[in-house]
Amino acid sequence: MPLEIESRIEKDMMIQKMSGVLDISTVELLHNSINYLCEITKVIYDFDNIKFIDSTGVGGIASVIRECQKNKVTIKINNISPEVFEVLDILGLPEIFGEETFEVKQI
Amino acid sequence: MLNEFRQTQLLYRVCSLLIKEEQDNHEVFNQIAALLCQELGVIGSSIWLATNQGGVGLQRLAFFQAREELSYSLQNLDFQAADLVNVQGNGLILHNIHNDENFHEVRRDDLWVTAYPLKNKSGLIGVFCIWDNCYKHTHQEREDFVSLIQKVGSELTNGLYNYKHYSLADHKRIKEELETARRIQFDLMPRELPFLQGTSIGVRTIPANEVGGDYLDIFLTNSKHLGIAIGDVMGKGIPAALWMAMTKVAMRTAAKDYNQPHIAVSQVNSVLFPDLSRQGIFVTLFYALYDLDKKTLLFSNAGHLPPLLYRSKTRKIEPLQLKGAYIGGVENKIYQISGVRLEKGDIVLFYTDGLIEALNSDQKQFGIEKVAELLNSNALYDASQIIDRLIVDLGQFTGDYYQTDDITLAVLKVES
Repeated sequence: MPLEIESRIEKDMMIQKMSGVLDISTVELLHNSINYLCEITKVIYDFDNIKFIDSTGVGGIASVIRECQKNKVTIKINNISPEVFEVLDILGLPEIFGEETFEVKQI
Repeated sequence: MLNEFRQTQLLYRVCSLLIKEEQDNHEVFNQIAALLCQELGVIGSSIWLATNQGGVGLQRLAFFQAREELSYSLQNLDFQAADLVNVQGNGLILHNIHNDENFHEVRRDDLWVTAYPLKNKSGLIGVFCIWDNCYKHTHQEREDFVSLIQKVGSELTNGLYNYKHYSLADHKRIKEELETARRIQFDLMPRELPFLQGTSIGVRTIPANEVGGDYLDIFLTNSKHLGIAIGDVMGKGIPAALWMAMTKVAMRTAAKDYNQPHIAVSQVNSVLFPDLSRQGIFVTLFYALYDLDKKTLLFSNAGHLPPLLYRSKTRKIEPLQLKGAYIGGVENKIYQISGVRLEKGDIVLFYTDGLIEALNSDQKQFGIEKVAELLNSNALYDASQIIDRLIVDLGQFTGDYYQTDDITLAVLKVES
């Protein structure tokens, strides 16, 4: 299953709606999604339709968060399904990058 | 037709492109195909390489079409011409495809093909095609054209031979190196398990590719405790395998120096953090120390999936929960420690995500519930039999569906 990213910019905020699978075959798209950070102060990744994530996908998220933090851009990952969040939580991403960065989907 | 000077110039340019040709880069053949179209004023050209995969066949290395809009597919006609030369062994020189039943797609009286076989001592190594819709009227024009095609063909034969030779040699060399890497990595996995009174141990690893990023080690520490370390490197292939080897060395060294699992894991993180964080890679690591006398299992976790503990008394599964960021996540992190006391009949299953995420053809995952259920139903067997049964069930579930991730598991069972 591929990964689709629907990107839109509202003032100084970039919203990236993600659908599909974030794994070794699609992670490049995630990396490319933050190529244009100038004049952006906040990036929101909407994970509502992310069904599966593997370790390379997690590595991709970590690298995107680091890139944003380096450029002083606030980043949030919203609407994470409990299953996907469990993977991120076991790996310790909230501990590494701050719990406020991740928001689990309310069901 | 080109004058003699321009013919020499064209040959010189073809030769210099072939000399510059990198060993496995076929882009140069596309450049030659375009150059030929441009200089000869023809509508298309192609270069084919004879392959031996599945019988003698042809692979189109390069194709160039000078005019974009044609009422027919030149690529298809080009395939038919090259195939004809390959099958018949003879060239088609200024061949009018009109009324030729081999070219069934189009009936055109203004399309000529020259499909020239590229041969050396060992036989046909390729085909070179030129498509033209302007016939060479005079005898001299035809002579000059054929002579030029032969000269270009002779250079292309050498170029194709070098390309084929080097790319095959490279492919063979890489395959051999991967096979060596696979053997080295296999040796890095536990080979001889320690024999322990009253405890059985079993391990299994199923790599998805030649080499992988799963890590498992089982050893006796200086204080005669059983050390079990399991981990998974982000990513796949050779980079993951290199990190797997480094993790093993770091873990073994730390286990020798520190007899508390959380201090050892913290040490592994301190050693590997600078390189991992710079490269944007991480490693998960779960390290447990089993005291055979007291039957206590102390453990620390750096982002790995919690092993499953099957309690024989209650027949319930308890995951060995303990949080901790992956190795390479937080600099100088001090990891936590936790522990459980095991009883006779208790089983601990250590595993990597490849086990629970194994897919069948319906894209369904094997899942943690299924693993827990299998532990329960096979709890009377010893550790290696439990692994055998898990693997059989996993195989029945996945069938011949290709698994993209490595699968590694280790079972520890308290027998008495």
